[in-house]
Amino acid sequence: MRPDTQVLFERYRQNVYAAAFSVCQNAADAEDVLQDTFLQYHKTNKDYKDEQHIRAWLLRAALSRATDVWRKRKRRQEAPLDDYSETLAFPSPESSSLFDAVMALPDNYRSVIHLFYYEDYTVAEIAKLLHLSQSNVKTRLSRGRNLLKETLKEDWNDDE
Amino acid sequence: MTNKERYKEAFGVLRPKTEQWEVQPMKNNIRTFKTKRILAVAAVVVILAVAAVGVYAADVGGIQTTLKTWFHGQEVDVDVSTGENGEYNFEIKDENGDTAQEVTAVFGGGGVEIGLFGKERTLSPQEVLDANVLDVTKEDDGRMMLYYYDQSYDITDLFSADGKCKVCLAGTGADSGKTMYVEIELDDDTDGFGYSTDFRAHGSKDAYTRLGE
Repeated sequence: MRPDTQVLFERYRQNVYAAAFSVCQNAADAEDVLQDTFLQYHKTNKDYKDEQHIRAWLLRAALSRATDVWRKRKRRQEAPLDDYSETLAFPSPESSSLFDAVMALPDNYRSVIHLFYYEDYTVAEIAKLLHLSQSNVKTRLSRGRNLLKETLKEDWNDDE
Repeated sequence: MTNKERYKEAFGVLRPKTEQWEVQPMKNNIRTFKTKRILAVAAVVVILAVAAVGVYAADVGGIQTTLKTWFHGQEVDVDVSTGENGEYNFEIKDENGDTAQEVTAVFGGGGVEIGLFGKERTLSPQEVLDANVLDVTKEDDGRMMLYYYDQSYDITDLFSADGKCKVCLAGTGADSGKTMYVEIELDDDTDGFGYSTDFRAHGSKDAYTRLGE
């Protein structure tokens, strides 16, 4: 299957943008990653097995591109975060705190945490998507959770 | 509310400004409409309650030391520094002194995770490097490669029809005297793969193809 780019864009633009932002931490960069990811899809003559195949492909492409952008910015020693988060309409102070706490995580944890908590991928699925071993994903998840727990305290449960 | 529900609520506010996918034919090429960047005029103050992860080195952010490791079959120098959260940042240089790869160690400044909620102990940067000398990569041309110290193997043809590959090889360096069992599984959904390593075989040892013989 190969759905039209416009159809996919409307369906997944929010997911791709959120995944990109979770890594590159900059609204303009995340918008560019969003465009680049769908341009890559548009130009790639590939047939996909099903909807999940496409979703995983888009997220992997976006995270890979976002990581490149983030590294370049880091090399230039530019602060990635802008005042964008202050413009977001969080439904509660706890949501805002959670958002900031995730953004404060080391970069290697953020993509794994995002795929697990936002995209509902399992450890095995994340390992395949990011080309990591499952133990590596577990470690990143565990350490990310511990850091979130230390920061958010009672606003972060002890469940998974 | 579960953690997942909280996370989705927090990140659900992220909305891209771009609402329509637009492409414009231009000299037989496709051009995207890039987002206009708005220059930030103010420094950002983000109060980040960074959890106290023991920082390993005193010279945070600076180059701490240069170590040696194996990267894709070659022995290379690695500049090691410690990030602000205690993570190790490894920068592998190529022969021209340019950065070949940057890696931030997930174990850095903390330790090895034993199980999801197990205890940790701090690893040194060299231990982190030694624990990662086995690497599996998918090349641009689709070949699957396995690297281990100075050894490199093209394992593309060792995959079964269902996309699985089991190989083993004699341990080297810190793994000397042991046998390393590696299982790799391709994932059609992502065009990616996952792999695991163990010093014990899962099931029959005969199911593993021995490399290096």
